[in-house]
Amino acid sequence: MLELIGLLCGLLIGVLVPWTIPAQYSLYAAAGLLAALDSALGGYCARVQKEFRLSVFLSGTIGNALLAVLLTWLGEKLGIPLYLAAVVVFGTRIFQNFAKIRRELLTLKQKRDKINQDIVSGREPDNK
Amino acid sequence: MKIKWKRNKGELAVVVVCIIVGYLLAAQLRTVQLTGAADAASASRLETLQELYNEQSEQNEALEDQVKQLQSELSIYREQAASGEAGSEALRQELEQLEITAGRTDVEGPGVCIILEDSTQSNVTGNEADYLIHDSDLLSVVNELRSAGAEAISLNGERLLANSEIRCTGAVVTVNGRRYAAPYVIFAIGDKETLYNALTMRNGVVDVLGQWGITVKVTMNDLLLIPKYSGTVEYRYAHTVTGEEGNG
Repeated sequence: MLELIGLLCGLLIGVLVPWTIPAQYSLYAAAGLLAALDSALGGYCARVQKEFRLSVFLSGTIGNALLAVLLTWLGEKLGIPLYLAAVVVFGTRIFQNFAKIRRELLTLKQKRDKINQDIVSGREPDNK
Repeated sequence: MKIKWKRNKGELAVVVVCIIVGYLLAAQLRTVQLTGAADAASASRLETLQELYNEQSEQNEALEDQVKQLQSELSIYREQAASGEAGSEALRQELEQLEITAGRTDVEGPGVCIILEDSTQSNVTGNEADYLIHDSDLLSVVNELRSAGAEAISLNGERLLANSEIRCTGAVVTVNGRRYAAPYVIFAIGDKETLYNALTMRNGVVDVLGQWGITVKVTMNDLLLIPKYSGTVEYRYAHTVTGEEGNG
């Protein structure tokens, strides 16, 4: 929930602040945006799965964004649209993360019901 | 407690990244919109320019027609003036003189023909420009002709008027806004012998140019035709001074 509010806040800031990205840096911003989107979804996914580690998250976020921008820059120098690599990888991962979140959230209720059932029936709840 | 704080920190980090994502998304959207609008603007600008260009060239044509029409009107006036009373004879003569000066009519008469060609000598100074005809060479020839009393001058068929330019534009020379390349043919109407002698005197223009191997052929002709000025002369800034103002 808080993540959605954050996203809206960011959108609002972006709309209200008059500063825009210069056209020649538009590609870099797009690559960075994809990396950040992937990181945000990945972080949320990890939180839902209770596997979240701050160091992994932060290094991933910053590292991925930098790498995406670097690839874009290198591609521009070499004349190959290398940023497509970042687009493909991050795009795939966004879908994967979304799928994980979906499954986790959908099965959450079932798990809870199972635990309750186990408690009612007097057995030890197994934490699988 | 520590676990809770750690959890919050994690949540905070995700939220911060979410904010960044949102911000980038909005900024990027706006940029893309702006550049898209700019592209559309440049495309429509091109069309607008094309339209403007067409319009201008049409206007040009119309104006040329107008010039022709006015010139025919003028010739009618001239005829009327000629057929009129004796008093108008003087006016007619003055008009003729002024028309020659203004380059409004084709003129013919005796004079000299000068043909200038780039040097055929082998290059020994290493500077190619030394062996080519420059605007200054042409100007010195024209200046000499004027000094010797030439009444009408043309360069490659382009009438030289008081406000004609002879200007270097790269490898060619611009005269009356048109570009011409070597060989340059100059016609000058006037006293042919005076003109001829003025050009070919010792240390004169032809002599100096000849030192660089530039071939200058000067011939006397009994009848030369110099065409009228093809453009129109417009005075937008210069005005005749009237009456008392001139004394001030």
